[in-house]
Amino acid sequence: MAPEEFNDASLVQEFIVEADEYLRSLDDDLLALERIYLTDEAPDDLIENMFRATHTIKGLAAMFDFDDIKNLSHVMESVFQAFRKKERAVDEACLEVLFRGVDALRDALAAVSAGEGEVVGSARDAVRAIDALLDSVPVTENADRTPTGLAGLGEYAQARIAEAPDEGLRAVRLLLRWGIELRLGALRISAIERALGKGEVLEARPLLDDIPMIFEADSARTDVTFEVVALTDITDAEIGDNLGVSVSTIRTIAGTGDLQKSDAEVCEPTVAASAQHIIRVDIGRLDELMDLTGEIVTARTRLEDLVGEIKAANRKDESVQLLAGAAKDLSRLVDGLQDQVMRLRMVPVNQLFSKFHRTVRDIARWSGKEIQLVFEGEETELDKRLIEQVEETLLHMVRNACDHGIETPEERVAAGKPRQGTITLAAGHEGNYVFIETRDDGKGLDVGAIWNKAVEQGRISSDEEIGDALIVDIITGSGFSTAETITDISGRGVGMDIVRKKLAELGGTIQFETEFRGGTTFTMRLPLTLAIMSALLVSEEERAFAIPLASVAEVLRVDRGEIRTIKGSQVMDLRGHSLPVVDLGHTLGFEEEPSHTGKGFVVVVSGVGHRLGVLVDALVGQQQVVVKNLEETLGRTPGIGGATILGDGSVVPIIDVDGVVDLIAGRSKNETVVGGGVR
Amino acid sequence: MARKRAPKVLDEDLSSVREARVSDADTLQLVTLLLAKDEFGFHIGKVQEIIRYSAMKITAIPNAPRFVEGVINLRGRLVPVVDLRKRFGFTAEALGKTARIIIVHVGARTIGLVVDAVVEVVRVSSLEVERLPDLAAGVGTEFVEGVCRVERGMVVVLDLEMMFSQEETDAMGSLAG
Repeated sequence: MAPEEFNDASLVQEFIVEADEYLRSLDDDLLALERIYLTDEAPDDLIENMFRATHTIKGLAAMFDFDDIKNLSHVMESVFQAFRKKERAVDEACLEVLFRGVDALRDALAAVSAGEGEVVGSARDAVRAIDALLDSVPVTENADRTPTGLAGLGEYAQARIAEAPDEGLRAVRLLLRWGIELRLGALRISAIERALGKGEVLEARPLLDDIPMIFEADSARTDVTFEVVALTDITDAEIGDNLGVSVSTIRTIAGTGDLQKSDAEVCEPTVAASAQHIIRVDIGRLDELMDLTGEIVTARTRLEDLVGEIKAANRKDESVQLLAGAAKDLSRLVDGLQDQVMRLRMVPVNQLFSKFHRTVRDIARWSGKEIQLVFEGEETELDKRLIEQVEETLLHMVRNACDHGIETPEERVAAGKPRQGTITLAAGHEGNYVFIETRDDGKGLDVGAIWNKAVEQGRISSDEEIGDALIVDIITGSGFSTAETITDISGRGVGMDIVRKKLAELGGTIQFETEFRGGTTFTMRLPLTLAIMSALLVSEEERAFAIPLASVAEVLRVDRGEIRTIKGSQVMDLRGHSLPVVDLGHTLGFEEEPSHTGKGFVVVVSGVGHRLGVLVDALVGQQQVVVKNLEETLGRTPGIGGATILGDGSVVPIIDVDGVVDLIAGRSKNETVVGGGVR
Repeated sequence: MARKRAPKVLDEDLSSVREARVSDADTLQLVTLLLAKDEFGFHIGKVQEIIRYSAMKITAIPNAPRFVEGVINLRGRLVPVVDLRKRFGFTAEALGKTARIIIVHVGARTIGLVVDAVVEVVRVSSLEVERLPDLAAGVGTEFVEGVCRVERGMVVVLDLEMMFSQEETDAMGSLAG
């Protein structure tokens, strides 16, 4: 048999996604175990969870003939089995090899995912390490409670089947022809488990004698019969219904209690009903759906306008009234649709946060620090794309907090703090924005030292006023403190320029608060979704532009005469401070000279560490806009971050505030550079 | 370029003609078009659709590459529009009633090309490549795939991939720098 042919890519992808989920829960559980094992006995359900996770991964891997993954999860399962049976106590050596095992499994999955096959040396090394560990323990008695008819089943399955009657469960053997009776989704163990009521899948393996003809020429016919051994609390007929298979393929395994008895004893039907029905969808499809919805919204607006015109012209016509009514109904439905489509992409930020448990643990171990990671508002929902985009950024911030924020236990004790440092990841909503905060109770930033260093490096002049904005700008500026390692503030710049760039790209902002010796908080503010943002629509020289509302601090009505020109730059007075002002049309290059007369509006925007007044002719309004990328089609367009399509079908460029700041910086260095773009 | 008669402008959509391409693999099908007074052609396979210039509103995008007129809203998608006449440095007169935007696929991108008129769809058996220099006057030879003979004279066949890959990247690079 040639397994590769049978491993349809999408099925392998399913496998990876599912195995990855189990790995993540395994990682979390191991961390939980590590936190408590010294003081408390590990709770049974924790061990049980880990046992089942490895067992399921093993089963999945076996289906695809990923031997290394199967073998590794098998030996890990054996360790949990030993914990479970109290044959072995949890100790540091065990935890270390188990963590190694999780990493090796993850590597192997990544390799499979990258299409490199699963052969990864670390998996085999991990197997050897765990084998060595298991060998070091004398195997104690293992009373043979194997019920009859269970020949060929693994240790876990046999043990669970033995316990089944006590839990009101019975064991069944299901023959599932996957590919015909079961569509792809049901390959997932969890899908089968949902069909079993309170039960669980113990083993699943292809029936080898059923296989031959399948893997030959016709690869579309990938139907294989699997034998699934499982526990359940519901009747054969119910299982048959749930899985859409014939009852004749279901057999009760002898000696595990008969149906009537277990039926009578167990089962509130609500248990099965409450099982969540979740399907996986490629996010690309959601994007397409979103685009389509955007088009419908645009079309709807056009329809509304037309209906409005017709209505005005034919007031008396009853059918026109009906048409208007129908159009209104449609509008409402479209609103609902758009709302739901948006919601499809939202996932709890916990998915992101929980990945950092491991990061923090590893850094803490390696650096000899004691750090706990706590979450606040982890149920906050974010656009899935945003979560993907922001992961690396947050990783930098968490690493920075561990490396440079939290002190060693000795330093902390000397400073009168608890030995263990705390890093808090918090998330929440603020209007149409979400914030993600990285808070540490470490030593804080020495603002004075940073400032001195920046002056020393010639990044700022010594007469510049210290403000938070300036400090953020300095530490997030590329290269700061990366080359020369100076104590205390070294490394804070590492990766921070990446943070800055990423946030600008996502339309977000970053702020920080620090208390020297008291800790530092970085707050990222991000749009709720990457696809939609609130924007201020303005018009300049008869053209419409959208300015992200996130960047807008305030809007002022001005007379252009109030704006002074100092050393070639325009400034205006804002409550006693001077605010640099740019003329939008001039800056973007479609106006030769800034206009100097007439009324206008100054939109005060704040970019990364900058505050700037943008001079425009008129304000049009504020609205939610769907952001369309321009970079893919036009390349870089400095000062323009994308475009949006309004309800009337017109296209409006979206201003990239940081880009505008860069344009001005470029211009003051070299007057001739900017301005060529548009006629 | 000598012509026997003035080209007639083709107006209908191309979907019916596309079918033919599949059935006859040996010949090439070209969409021919006018830029100023000269006739050019593209492979029909690159063309998605042809729309009236007057039906679209082009929104200028500041700091876009010089030859990009702006973007249009094509059923909810933003498609950049390039004026081919400006691209080739022809004197661009005001666009008349026959002006069209040809939506083409270049690599993974969709681009709209403004032309003075679309002439016809022709089937030719092969392209000549030797006589390029004199015929491709005004257009960089690097953008020309070959020439072919039609009833009216010669048509210069443009290589869209070349036009919108390297050259454009260079242009954008210099703009960004």
